[in-house]
Amino acid sequence: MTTLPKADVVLIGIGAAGGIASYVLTKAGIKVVALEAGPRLSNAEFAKQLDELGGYQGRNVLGAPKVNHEIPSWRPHVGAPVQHLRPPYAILMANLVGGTSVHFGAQFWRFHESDFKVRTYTVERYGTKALPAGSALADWPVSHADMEPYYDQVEYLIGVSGRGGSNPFEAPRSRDYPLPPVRSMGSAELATKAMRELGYHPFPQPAAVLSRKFNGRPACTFCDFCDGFGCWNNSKSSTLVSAIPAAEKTGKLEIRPNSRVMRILTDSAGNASGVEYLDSNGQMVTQPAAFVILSTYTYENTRLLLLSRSSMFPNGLANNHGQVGKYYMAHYYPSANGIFPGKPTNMFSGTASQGVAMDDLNADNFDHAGLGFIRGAEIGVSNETRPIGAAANVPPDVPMWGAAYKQWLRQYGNSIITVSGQLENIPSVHNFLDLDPTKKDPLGMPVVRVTYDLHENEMRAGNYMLKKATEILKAMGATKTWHYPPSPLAINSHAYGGTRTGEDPATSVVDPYLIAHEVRNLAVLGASTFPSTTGFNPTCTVEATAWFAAEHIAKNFHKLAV
Amino acid sequence: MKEQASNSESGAGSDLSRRNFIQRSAVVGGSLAVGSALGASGLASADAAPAGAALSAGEMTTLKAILARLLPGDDGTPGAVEANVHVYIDRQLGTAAYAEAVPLYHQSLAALNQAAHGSFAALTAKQQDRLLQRVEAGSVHGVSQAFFFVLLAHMREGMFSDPMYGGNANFAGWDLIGYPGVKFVYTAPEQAIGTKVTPAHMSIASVGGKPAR
Ligand SMILES: Cc1cc2nc3c(=O)[nH]c(=O)nc-3n(C[C@H](O)[C@H](O)[C@H](O)COP(=O)(O)OP(=O)(O)OC[C@H]3O[C@@H](n4cnc5c(N)ncnc54)[C@H](O)[C@@H]3O)c2cc1C
Repeated sequence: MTTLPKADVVLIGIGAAGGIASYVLTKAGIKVVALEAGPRLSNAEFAKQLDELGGYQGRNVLGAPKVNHEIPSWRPHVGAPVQHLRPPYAILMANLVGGTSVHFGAQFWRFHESDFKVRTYTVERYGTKALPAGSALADWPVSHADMEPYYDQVEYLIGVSGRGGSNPFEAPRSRDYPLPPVRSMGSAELATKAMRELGYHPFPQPAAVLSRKFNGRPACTFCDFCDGFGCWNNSKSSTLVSAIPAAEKTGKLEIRPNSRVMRILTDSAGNASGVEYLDSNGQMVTQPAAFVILSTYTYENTRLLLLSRSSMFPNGLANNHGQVGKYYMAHYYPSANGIFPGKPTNMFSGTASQGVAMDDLNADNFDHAGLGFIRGAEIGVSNETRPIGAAANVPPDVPMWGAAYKQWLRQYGNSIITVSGQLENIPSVHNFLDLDPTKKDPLGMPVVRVTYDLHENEMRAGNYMLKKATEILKAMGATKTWHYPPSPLAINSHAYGGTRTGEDPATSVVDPYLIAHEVRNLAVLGASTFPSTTGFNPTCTVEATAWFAAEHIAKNFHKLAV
Repeated sequence: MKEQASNSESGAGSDLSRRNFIQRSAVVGGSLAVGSALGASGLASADAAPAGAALSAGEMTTLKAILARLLPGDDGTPGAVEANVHVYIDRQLGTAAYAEAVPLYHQSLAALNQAAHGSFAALTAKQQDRLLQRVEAGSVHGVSQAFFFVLLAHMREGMFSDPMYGGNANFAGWDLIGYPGVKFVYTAPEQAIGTKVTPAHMSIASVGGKPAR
């Protein structure tokens, strides 16, 4: 096996979190070797991928290098039969330089002040009896005030569109977004009016998509191929077109594409000493390093730690307290549909992050007394539907085939608006990740096994949100509405937990700076470190926390590196 | 993004209402039916399939007769057969990604013919509809509900995917549902409610796109 010269920092996976970390570290003068399982692609390739079947609807072409072959298995609870989900399976991650930020939907949210102190807020307002059974609800070890400067720097580095102050529930920000909100559209205008009538406070969704030219990149053209697709126009603010090229300009970032890390190595003192990876020729290579950063998305973060056993860490790296894999969380997306007969709603256009949102029923922004659940959901309207998906979205009383089905599609196929939300998932001792005892990927490595279900808090809150979404549709003028009951989406593009951050090694894996409690020269980045999901998409906070951690690592490099 | 999909297909899906929900809830989430019940064995090794790779001429006759009822073309606009959905399905079944579904098609098409006393295609449209309703309810021996849902998912894929995959001939599916086709730009008026967008009738193949495996 080849052993290469020692690197300062080896970064495993250069996606949303890794891309930001590479920028912060190299700007501070530290040399980074990034090992990325996928290739490097450009907008010329993305321009040939405006194809629903190839992208979002299941083939997930950008996941072909890796994730499509290692889809986690799922069981709702311990003792239940395990289900092996097979590709093609939609909404999986992407493997390429820039990671899933290349094909994410670009809805780009800062969290609330109460999100970071979620347990304290809940207990102060409703008492400990309000905590759901089995809940492992915990405060974050950092506050919104700690994170605000990093939110701000992320927004200005990558290019984010929105209007500061338009959401009355937003935490204080030091300045407005670098770009005004992206254009509104018909369905959002209709929803805005209805939400106001119902007493809510709608505002334009914050978007990591350019509303205007920014750093030489053009504004979005609303092509309907954003969520699940790479941007052919360079208008989506992935790390591939923002942080990563800026990091490369320093001359201190070396990216090795098509390089899949198989194991993190440790020395006899229990420090990380480097990694083993399969290089682009299929050769196993050892890359020693003074500091290792793991940023491979929630499932692989847990998996690589559990697979990196050694005599010092017999149960997996950084797992001597048995915390790796714990408190797995995932969003449930309550959504209701309505028909607007005779009017094309032009839902087959735009981008997922274009549209309207409201925050009135999220977090602790409303009084939960008597409702039987805590926390809530952001609710909004965006377009970006595509025909294969739309053809399956018919009301329960309409047949799925035959003349009546065809007639329904012709009449209403482009006359639907969907109001949807994302519901905060309360961390539970019953929801966790471990290695599947039987299922392996093509290289013979066990896949992740997800043990996960929605519990009573999510079912109640989910049904409540479905009711509210339906009310909004009716106020918009929908003549008919429909929805389906809450169900767990165990394998999720919003997946959290497994390497929780906290002060206490007995209940968390990484410290407040995202450095492993048990390994001083190993950091873990991504939503796997989040103690809670919030009712917002994760990536803005994934990138802000990565910046925060990388800055700490850079400042203390000589103390931390081995 | 606010994806909607369900995980459960094989195990938890044995009762009808749940299955129904699963199948219907594949809204934004994707091709769950083939995806999770029967899906692929090895995506990376999947080869582009030669046409006519998977099903025999007799099986194609049966498949076409079914598709003609699932999305009929007798109302003056093209249905699944006119849009070449059978071509799409046959081609996909010849790829590694769909290989696991092939035995299910062989067995189910044969069983359906048996239930039709020899030839499903020879029944009247009314008789065909009645038999398919029984299949959907899970009461035809040898033709599972799972097969029916896979078939519906494949029908939607073939009818509404980019024509480069072999179905959606002449953009028939996209015209049916009101999807304008691949467009690189939408103007503000085109995103207003009530605007009729002129169909672009564009396949991504026209700018170098290739079917994904
Ligand atoms: C379809 C979709 C839509 C989404 N929409 C939104 C949205 O609108 N808003 C939002 O906030 N979030 C959204 N998300 C979530 C968002 O993409 C993630 O939160 C974010 O990308 C996570 O960043 P990460 O760095 O942890 O992982 P990633 O961005 O996935 O990066 C991980 C990288 O590690 C690489 N890697 C994995 N394993 C290895 C290995 N063993 N060796 C080497 N490299 C490896 C991967 O190839 C990848 O490049 C969406 C996700 C999906 C799938």
